[in-house]
Amino acid sequence: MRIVRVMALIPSIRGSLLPRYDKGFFLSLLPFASIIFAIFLALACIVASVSQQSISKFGVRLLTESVWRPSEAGEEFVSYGLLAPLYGTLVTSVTAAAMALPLSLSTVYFMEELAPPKLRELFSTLIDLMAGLPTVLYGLWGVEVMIPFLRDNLMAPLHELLPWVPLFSCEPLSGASLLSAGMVLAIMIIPFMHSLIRDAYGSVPMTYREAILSLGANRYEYFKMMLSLIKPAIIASLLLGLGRASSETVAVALVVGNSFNVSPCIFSPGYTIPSLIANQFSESNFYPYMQSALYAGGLVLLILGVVFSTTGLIMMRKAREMYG
Amino acid sequence: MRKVALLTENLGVKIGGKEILRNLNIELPERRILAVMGPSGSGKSTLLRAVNRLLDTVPSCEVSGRVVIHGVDAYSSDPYKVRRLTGMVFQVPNPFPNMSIYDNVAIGPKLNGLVKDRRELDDLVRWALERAMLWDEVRERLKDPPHKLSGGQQQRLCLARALALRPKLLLLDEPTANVDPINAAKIEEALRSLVETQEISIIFVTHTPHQAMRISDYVAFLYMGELVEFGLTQEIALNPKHELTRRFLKGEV
Ligand SMILES: Nc1ncnc2c1ncn2[C@@H]1O[C@H](COP(=O)(O)OP(=O)(O)O)[C@@H](O)[C@H]1O
Ligand SMILES: [Mg+2]
Repeated sequence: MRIVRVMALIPSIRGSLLPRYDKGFFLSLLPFASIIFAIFLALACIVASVSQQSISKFGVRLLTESVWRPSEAGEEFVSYGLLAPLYGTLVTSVTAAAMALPLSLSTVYFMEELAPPKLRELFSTLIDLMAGLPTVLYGLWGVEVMIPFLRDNLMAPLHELLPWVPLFSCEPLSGASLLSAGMVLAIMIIPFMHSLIRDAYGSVPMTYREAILSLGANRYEYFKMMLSLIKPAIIASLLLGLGRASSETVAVALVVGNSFNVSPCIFSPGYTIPSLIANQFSESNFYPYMQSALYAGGLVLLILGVVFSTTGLIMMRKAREMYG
Repeated sequence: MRKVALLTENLGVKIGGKEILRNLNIELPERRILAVMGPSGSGKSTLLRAVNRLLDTVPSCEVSGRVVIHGVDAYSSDPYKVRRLTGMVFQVPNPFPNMSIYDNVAIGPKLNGLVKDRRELDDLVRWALERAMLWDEVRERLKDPPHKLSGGQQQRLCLARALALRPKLLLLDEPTANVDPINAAKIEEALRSLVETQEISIIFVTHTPHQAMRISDYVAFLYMGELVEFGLTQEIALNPKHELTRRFLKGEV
């Protein structure tokens, strides 16, 4: 929601009726604006500099190995590989975005084209509420309700039916798995993606809607063409959704299983970088290189986040420019 | 005896309880141009949207009476079918910005399954662009996005988009209001040639009496939701029955 609000400010600032440039006002706000930028730079520098130690020791093995072996005995026994958490982060967030997209599109269609105004209001409030809930609640709900349900009604049957499909090749044990994490994340990012897509959908001018209808499009074709008119916004919502999902910590830590696994099977427990950091940071002072390795994980997250957010925001901007 | 392209019987429109159109009776023979004129706010756009059922999308809108398009009773058949029978061009050029010039024209036939293969589609797109007098200007750049065209060209592209549906009845809502005079003349010429050579009839909305008289075979004069006068253009030009029409033609209303 935060991103939506910030984006909403941009056109109004640009199109403001006030003089474009008021020097006193500008100067008075400059320090505050610079502080934000300075904090971001400082954050990036700290993360990079603490990571430095492990990066120079392990090099690329940090990303290509998945042995995580803290040791006090001596440097030769120590091994830190982030492959499993990196893999888990990517798999869970891609799963989440892939599941959240069709669901967000359906809710947009339902609200914009089917629901009567009162129901629309209610639904809209509900979705805003969902977006604002503390994420740990989604994790708790996942553990209590979703994991047992998924294990018994989805994972076990799929594994029995199609054990030769690599995705379903392992037996679901506790149910805590990459799939469960992906689903919890999907539910968390649906309200977010829904809002972004719905904003764009609502901004398509009436004249294009009428043009589509005047060509004899039925409901389904109409919606398809409307979506093609807001394609940049849909891509943006995917990228920003990926950014959210890949950085979520607590909810994932509760449902992902927290084990160093690089398996093609989505029923197997895994790890993600944020949950790794959350789980292990408190003891990382006791082992050589461990804290630095965790920071290296943070650096990877930072890079992922910057890539997803900037490309997402660029697409969002493109989407906004399309219809003035 | 010519077939009837459009027939309205006691057509009335209410939006949110407010009467926008009242008791409209119009009969337009096939292959003729009807100009609907009237001051702004008189209900011209609403009339067009009642004919092709775009009003269905307006909440709290009630339509009464009958609309018959080429023998098809619009309000007792499928709205998608009604809109397919009637292409529409809007007041502000609105080609789809996310599609190429070619795709803008091809989308209608594709949606409605009018063509069997790519070659037929190519032919239909070319035909529509030629009829809209745009082909020579865009044949080399069919893959370009429409915003590279001038406003007048974009409006002719929208005309081609509507024509590619092979409609029986073409609805145009002040199509030249936002277009330079040269492009406006091209559009008028294209329309004249359409009714002379094709099985098509046209309703042309305009708020300028000059244009109405210049282009049409029949005129309908709308004033505050009522049909003040309807008849052959020549007769109304020479001898309007109502004082209000006379004043509108002189530019006094
Ligand atoms: N969707 C709508 N909701 C409410 N009123 C409308 C709507 N569309 C048109 N009207 C009203 O109907 C009247 C006729 O409008 P319109 O058909 O656009 O006139 P014209 O095209 O002749 O300028 C106007 O008073 C307008 O306010
Ligand atoms: Mg109008």
